[in-house]
Amino acid sequence: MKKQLKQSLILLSTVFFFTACSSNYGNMASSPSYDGVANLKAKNVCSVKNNGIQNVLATAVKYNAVAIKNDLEFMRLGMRNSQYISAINMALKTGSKNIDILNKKKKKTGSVSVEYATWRACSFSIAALQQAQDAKNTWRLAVPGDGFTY
Amino acid sequence: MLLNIVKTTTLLILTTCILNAENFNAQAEKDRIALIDYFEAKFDDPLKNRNTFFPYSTDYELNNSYVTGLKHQDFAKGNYAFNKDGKAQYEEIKEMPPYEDDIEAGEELYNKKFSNGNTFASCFPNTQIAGDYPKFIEEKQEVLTLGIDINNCLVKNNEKKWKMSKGNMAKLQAYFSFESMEANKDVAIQINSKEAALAYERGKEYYYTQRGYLKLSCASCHIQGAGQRVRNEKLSQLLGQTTHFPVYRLKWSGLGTLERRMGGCIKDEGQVPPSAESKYMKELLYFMSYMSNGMKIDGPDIRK
Repeated sequence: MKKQLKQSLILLSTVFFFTACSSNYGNMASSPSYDGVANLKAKNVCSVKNNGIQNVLATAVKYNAVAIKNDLEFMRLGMRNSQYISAINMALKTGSKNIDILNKKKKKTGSVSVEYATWRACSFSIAALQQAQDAKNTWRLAVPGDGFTY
Repeated sequence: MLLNIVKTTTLLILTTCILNAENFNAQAEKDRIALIDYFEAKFDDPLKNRNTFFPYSTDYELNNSYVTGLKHQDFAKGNYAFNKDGKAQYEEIKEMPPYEDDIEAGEELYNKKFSNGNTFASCFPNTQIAGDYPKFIEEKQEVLTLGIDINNCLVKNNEKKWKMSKGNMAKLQAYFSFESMEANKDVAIQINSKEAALAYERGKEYYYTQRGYLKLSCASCHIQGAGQRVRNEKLSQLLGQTTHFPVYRLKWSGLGTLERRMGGCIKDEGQVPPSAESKYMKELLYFMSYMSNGMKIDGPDIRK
């Protein structure tokens, strides 16, 4: 009788252990991390006036590569951030003061100054990563039955 | 004594297996039921619940533009479940649906012989399968969407892959969807393993994560924003969103797949969308489809 009781106890604890392990996968989804981005202040780092256009462009290229790798690249007005970066590079080579905004059919829909485009490319590349990092702690706030109450 | 140990061990293994098997979709079920509760509460009486759900809407709008008292299955119609004006226009278009030819074209594609003499029936003997995808393939440890499975079939039969967003892909899917609707099939997504549950969780995280330069998540518009008016349109709700694809969109002047629509939504958030065959997209669709589990397949359909 004692032995059977012991066996039942083992059975119950093992079942409990397995059940506890398998019942909640809510916190186990993997998320990427982007070291060194969290504390960057885009307003300072991406200031063309303070840092020079080449430095800001280098920052944009560096962080946009990470954003692309993690499927986080921003786009606006039909142009990917990498297209802004290419257009800035081209403008710096040719001495043009503006870059063209092109839609997906390569049709010009507007233009912005090279300085503004560089600022945008830099701030977009940093914001994409910072936002993804912040979201690791905030996304559950929108889930009904979890962080979102009404 | 030995017999007792064998009995206990067998019982232990069986119980563990049963409990584990039952629990793989526990979180997903909890999410799905919470979502149903949320939308039933939101659309029970928009005027009465204005402060909670529709703070920016006018009295006139809340009194005249919404169907009230909606229940779970009503949401299979997307935003036409609650949108009175939209539904009137939708029903007019449905009198002569523009996708009828596409269903026929899809049936022809299904029966057309590949160069090796096989047809799609060699891969899909059952055509009422729209509600079974996406599915988690345990051997490969990844989500398989209907589009990818169609392309796998083409490759297996030495044919070229189709584009995932429109054209033949959308037409064949329209045929599968129509057949499933005619057979009264439900969305029936399965989560049968720990890995499948993790894929679901990653899809869920993608859905609720703010992204793009506008810092919007899918949920911003289709959970919290569902039912609210943007210009002259009302935003659809997540619940029932996958039941009616592929859709003939007036904006596209043609038929498109769910992957195409999701790509458009992510672009609207200000981010480059993941490719239709990427892990992100597959797991996103897995999560979204699970949320519509138990709802009737209602595709193909029309959307603006």
